[in-house]
Amino acid sequence: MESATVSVQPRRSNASAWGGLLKTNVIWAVVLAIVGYIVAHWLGGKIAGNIAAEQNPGGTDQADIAILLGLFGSIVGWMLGLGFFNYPLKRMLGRPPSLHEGGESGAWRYFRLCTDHKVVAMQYLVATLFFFFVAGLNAMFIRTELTSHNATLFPSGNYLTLVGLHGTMMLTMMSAGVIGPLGNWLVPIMIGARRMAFPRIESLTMWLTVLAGFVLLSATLLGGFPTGWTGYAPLADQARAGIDSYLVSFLLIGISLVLVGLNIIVTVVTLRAPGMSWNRLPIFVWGMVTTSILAVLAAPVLAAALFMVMCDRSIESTFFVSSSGGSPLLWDELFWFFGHPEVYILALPGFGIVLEILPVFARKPLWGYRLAVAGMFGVALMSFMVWQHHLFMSGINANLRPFYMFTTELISIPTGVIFLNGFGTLWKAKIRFTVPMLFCTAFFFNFLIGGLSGVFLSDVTSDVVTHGSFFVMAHFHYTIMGGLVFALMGGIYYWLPKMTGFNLNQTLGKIHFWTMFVFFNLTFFPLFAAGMLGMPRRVSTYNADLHTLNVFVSIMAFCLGLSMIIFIVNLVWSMVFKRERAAENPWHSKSLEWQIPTPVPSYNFEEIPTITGDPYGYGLPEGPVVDFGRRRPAVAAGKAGA
Amino acid sequence: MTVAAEAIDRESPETLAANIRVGARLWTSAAAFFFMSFVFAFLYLKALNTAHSFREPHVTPPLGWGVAILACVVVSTALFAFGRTSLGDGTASRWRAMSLGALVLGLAVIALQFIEYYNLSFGATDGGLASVFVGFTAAFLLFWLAAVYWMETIWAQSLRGERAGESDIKDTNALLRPNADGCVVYLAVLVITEIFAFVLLYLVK
Amino acid sequence: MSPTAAKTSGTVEPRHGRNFAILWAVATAIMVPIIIWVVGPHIPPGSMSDNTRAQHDVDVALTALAMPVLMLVWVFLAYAIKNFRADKTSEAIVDGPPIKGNARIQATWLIVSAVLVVGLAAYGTIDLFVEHGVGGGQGSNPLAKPADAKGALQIQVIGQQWMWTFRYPGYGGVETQTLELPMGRDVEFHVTSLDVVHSFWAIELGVKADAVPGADNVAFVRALRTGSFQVRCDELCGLWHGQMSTTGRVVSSAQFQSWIGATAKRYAGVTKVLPPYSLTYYPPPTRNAT
Repeated sequence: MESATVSVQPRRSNASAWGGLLKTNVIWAVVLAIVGYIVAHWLGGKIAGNIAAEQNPGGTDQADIAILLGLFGSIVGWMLGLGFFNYPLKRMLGRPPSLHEGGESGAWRYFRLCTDHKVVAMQYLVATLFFFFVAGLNAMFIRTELTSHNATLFPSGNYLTLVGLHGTMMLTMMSAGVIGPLGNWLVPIMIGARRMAFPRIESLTMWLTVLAGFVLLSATLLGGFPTGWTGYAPLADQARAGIDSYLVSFLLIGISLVLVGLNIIVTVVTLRAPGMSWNRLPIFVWGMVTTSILAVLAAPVLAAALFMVMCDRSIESTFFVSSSGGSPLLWDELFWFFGHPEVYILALPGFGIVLEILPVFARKPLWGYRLAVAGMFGVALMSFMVWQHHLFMSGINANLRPFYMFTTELISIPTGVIFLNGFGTLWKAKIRFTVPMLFCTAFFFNFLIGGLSGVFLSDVTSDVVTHGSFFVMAHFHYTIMGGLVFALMGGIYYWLPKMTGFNLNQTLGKIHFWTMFVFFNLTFFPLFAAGMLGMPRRVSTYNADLHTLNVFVSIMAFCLGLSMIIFIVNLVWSMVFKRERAAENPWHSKSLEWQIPTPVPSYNFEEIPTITGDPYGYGLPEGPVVDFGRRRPAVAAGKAGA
Repeated sequence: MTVAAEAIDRESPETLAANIRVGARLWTSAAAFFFMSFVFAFLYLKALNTAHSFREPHVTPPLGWGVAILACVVVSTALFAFGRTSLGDGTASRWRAMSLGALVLGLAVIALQFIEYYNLSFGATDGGLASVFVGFTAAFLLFWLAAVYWMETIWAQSLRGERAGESDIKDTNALLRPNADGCVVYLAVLVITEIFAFVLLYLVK
Repeated sequence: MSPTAAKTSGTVEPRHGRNFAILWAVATAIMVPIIIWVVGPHIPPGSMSDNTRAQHDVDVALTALAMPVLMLVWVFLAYAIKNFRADKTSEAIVDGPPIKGNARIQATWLIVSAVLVVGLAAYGTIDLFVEHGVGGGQGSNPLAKPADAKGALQIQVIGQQWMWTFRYPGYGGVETQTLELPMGRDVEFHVTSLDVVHSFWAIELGVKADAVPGADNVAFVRALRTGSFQVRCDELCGLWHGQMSTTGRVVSSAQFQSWIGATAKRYAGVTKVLPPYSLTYYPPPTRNAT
């Protein structure tokens, strides 16, 4: 399949710092994005000027055509500045296809289009963590507002924008949060490949995600948006210009999701090393594959729905305007058809991380490997069949409600399989509670509560009480934050020593874990009660009876924020200042990514390995997962058992 | 082999052909789901008919232009699909003629769509059908533009050929046919979508 | 190198399976009654209407059913943390037994969870229909109706940015800003909106129905006690979504009759100029909010 390396030619390097500044990079991207916005906005104003004057004789203070075109102009400028148009233009001139862009050494490669998947993964990590913390900061503002049941700290529009920014940024950035950093870094190495299938597209998805984050933040400059992350029309039609930022940002994320999913699936299908059969594939890779299937199929529906809102806002179509033949329920249906697979795009990577890490620290094979894979596929498939449970109270055809109640409860079966796999792996194990293992254990505790609360929501009778209330909030924070984010933290503590070559401080890691775990539960568990006691979502005023509860939750939330600061301190201290070199395989894992040197060379493997087993051979006399042939005999002997 | 030197893989075209094959099908699936949203929008809004405004009386999509656009889409795809069978088998002329024809018709689709917009007797504001009509045709145009771009790159590459050492892939000429095959998969779904859309938008009363 | 087994000669392997099962059974036996009899009565949303009674019963049942699952995970995690730790005194990495799966356990798990799910779904469906939709919005053609749906009192709930109004079609279509309904009588809410999507949540009545412009969403309730209840908007509808709340009252039949009669008379002039009662309204398009 894969040919061994033949020639040895150094890649072109960007050794000079000034040289790096002048070539395409993110600085140019920012400059050209701003220029692009101005130019396109002006153009849009020229196009729309006459139309707007006709339709709204009293004048208007917003021109959505201009703003939307402006935002698209900034996308063009951004891609131009990073050099993403170079290859497509070359192809139009008939130049042959190629895989790499050059410029793959030197510090500048982190600030530009780089076709090394490991660099893209690190860029993703920094970007998604940055936006994660920004969104977390918004959450702190939200909880501050909620410490009073009737006074307001923020004007209503600002508060709703904070809520929308928090939700949208968290969901979009955490959708990319595992598949971006960890998926891109690990998938090629875990399957024994040197690259992702489409390296430039991989870099594009990363830079589009970064742009999406900044476009979303630009909503604050355009008046904010009042719809929350769910963007319900016709409120979205009615809203001020800030929602154009939300629409464009989410569209970028949708495109990025399709492309990153496509890339991962093609990579796993076509670039596996010899011997890497389907039943030797690491479970993390299966998690990435199933997530990618959802991304490729569900995100386009979101793109279509966002496109329709953009049409409503710019060319005055009436997709969601009921007085002119449209319907708000159309948005509901389209959005949640995407929205439900979206939350499994968030959850499945968490499953993959946890089941991948558990065997290493339990020192036992993954229990029920095939069942785990089947469970992931079951979740992925069924996630397309449950979306109407978000619409139980919306006035959908009453015939549908029992069916979707059934399918929603059914999806708990493949989800529960993950627990069975985890517990089977822990059964009679020799567990070492390192920091990654702590996070993975907490995953089970948190996701259980999240999943059980989902059963309450799936029952239509119970849903009448809890739909749209803080109960739903607690449910999805338990599954997504308690599940995915905890798993992501575990994954970061586990893989960062390999990815960067530096250790994270384990003591700080344990403090981070315990504070995060305790305060996370204390923050979100009371919110189940708040919801059942009648507190709707996205409000800043609520019943005085719930005041004490909310003050308690807010204080706990601030402490949760402090735990995040401990994490940031750990990251910065360990990666920037202490820089303690990591061992090649500090966790004594038998998985392929730990059998190669740290730091990993840009070509990953000197020779494409021949895979001889699955990565979970703990307790067995078998050697490591890979046969490097004549290379590294000393390492091989050290891996088999104690 | 020294560790210091960084190696470039001269990849074999079979791997890359597999990449394109799988990638084209995935991209096409994504496009299909995008268009299915519009089909859903049409059927749903038609069923709801809120305020009896799904089909306003004066909203009749112009059949002539619709037929012309559909014809160009179909013929362009057919030309490209048949032309690619003679890619790389030495008879360059048939491929060149047909691919050029496909490109020209592809651009004609874009031009015709703009002309249709100019001659439209209604706007997007005029009800549910009008909204779906304008929204769908605009979105389709974007996807069609991507198809034309794809066809153009294959056509251009086949004309120019590879100069020595330009690419880190061995034998890029062998990639032309797999690339064209992938493009045809995408084009096929666009044709199916356009036929479906034509029936729903222009023919269904 | 031989696989390190969990068993060393001379020691008896504890019967983990049996021990765990016993602990789990005990934990479940303790928690389920606590949920049903101690915690249960305090679970919202109270018993002011037939809806809330049904919602309360379902919530108690679901919480009680959740206990075995919760205990399974919690007891297992605690058991594993206590009994399956690696030996901390030794630096060496010792492997556990290479167990890759157990078909019987997998099959049992799948079958039991499938039975549970089907049972839950059946229970939920039956409950939904027996309790006439339990106060949830069922769209314009509700399936789960009270026995005497024809005789129900019709109240239209109109949501708009950012207030609720209520029309009584049976009393001339008078529109009020206060919601009053009689105790002990089936009420049929028709919920709609004039602009964006809102959601009518009468908390203590256990009614929740989205107010969708251009659509008619029907929900039922029969109040069992007099008193007041909160009405809040449950779907983000713009700037003052959080302030879009009001208080409704359940009163005796006689009080209701006198109130509605007086109200209809007082607002007779206004009712004449209002748009005629209809299940949906299409106000003339307004300008975008500036």
